[in-house]
Amino acid sequence: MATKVGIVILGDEVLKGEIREANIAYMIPLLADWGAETSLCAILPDDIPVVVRHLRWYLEEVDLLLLTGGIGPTPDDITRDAVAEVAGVPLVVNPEAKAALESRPYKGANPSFRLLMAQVPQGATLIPNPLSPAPGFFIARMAVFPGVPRMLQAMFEWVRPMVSGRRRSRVTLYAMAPESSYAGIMKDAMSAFPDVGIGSYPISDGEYRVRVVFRGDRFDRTAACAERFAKFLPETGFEVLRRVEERGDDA
Amino acid sequence: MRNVLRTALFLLGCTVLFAASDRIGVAGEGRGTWEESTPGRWESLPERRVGGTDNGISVEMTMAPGTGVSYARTGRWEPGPAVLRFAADNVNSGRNDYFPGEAAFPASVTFVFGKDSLKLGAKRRVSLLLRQVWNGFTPSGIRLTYAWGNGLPVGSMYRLWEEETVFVVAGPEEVGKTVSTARRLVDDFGAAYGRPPVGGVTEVRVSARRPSREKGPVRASITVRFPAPPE
Repeated sequence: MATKVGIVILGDEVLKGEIREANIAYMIPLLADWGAETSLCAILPDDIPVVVRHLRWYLEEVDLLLLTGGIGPTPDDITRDAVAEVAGVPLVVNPEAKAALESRPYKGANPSFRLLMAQVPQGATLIPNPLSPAPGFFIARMAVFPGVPRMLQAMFEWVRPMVSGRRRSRVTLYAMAPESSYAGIMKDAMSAFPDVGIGSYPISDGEYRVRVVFRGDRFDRTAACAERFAKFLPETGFEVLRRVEERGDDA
Repeated sequence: MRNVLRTALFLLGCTVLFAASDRIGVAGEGRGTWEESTPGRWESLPERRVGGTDNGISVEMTMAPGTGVSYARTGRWEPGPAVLRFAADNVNSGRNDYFPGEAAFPASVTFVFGKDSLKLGAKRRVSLLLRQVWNGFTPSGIRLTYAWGNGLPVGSMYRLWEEETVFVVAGPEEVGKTVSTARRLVDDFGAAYGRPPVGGVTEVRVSARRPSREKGPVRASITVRFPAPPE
């Protein structure tokens, strides 16, 4: 069974359209590749009570929460406070993080505000940041990363051992059929194979009009479900033109 | 006179031996109809498993750098539908798919329309011949190649040589997966050359290459069903 993971992006800058969010698109395919199942994604404002309320709720739904953003030195960086409150521990200065920040002074930086980045919830494990002395941290099923994509990407491998699970099998069919033409066939395949998830996605430009994705824990069941769909599709006057099989860890 | 006769016999013997080594029968139904390239074409032949049938071939190989395979079957077929199935766990990332001398696909299938050709003119024909002397000869006639590309987006269609059009049916993002596709050769020919083909398919060629400068092996498989059996 895959680890159920939730992704939470923190920051008014994303919600107000100041920057374009790029971390979700980076994380989800990697998590899927590692065998985790991303079951929720959320973007929350820089508001501690709102963030605390949502984090508590999300932790009931998932095994692990990945948070990005809001761990800088300015007053709008509220993630560490919110996470500490959810974990039920105070914020403390981590000596290792403090030493790292002090050993690499930054020209023009205000040392007292800069050292705020050494504060983490008590008992948290540091997540090393190879690009900066300001680390991420992990506590109470929450892993917190910087929001800067370059840093997140450099640090993200850290989470891999925590999420690695059985990769699911996937079969993707490509066709020129309009979605409505095969909705009934899809419904039939869904009821015949309740253990296989099916998704239909239109393609706006390209060689094909749609792709239908079948995902399951067992390759034989996933392939059989796709086969059933492909068998009945010609009744609509269309056929499967391309098929991509990705065997999961069961195969 | 005796020496001339001896030399002629020796040369004849060499020719027979060379021809025999070039015609390695493929196990399975339709034995002998598919011909395998000689090891001399590559640095060496890779570890491979082959099964041929009346309407197709299945090849699985593990190619170390500097190896490759090529199977060809000649005949005459209507340009009907073809079903192709590819798998590869790596690509030749150091190769440029656009250049005839550079393109080396980890898995590809080529349909040759030997009775059809483009009107290129004498000058371009000579230029083509000279480039083929340098880069290696291709079968004469118009060719449609379906390839596991090394870097171009899936769905790309481009002219490799004047008379060869490549359709990229899979690429680096599908490494480790199995890709099957059903192609209507007449439609693809029309898309590439703007007209229906003259004559049918005269040769089907299955090939896979791992150039010597690439690092590590590639495990690939190719299955062709042509003409594709009716559903």
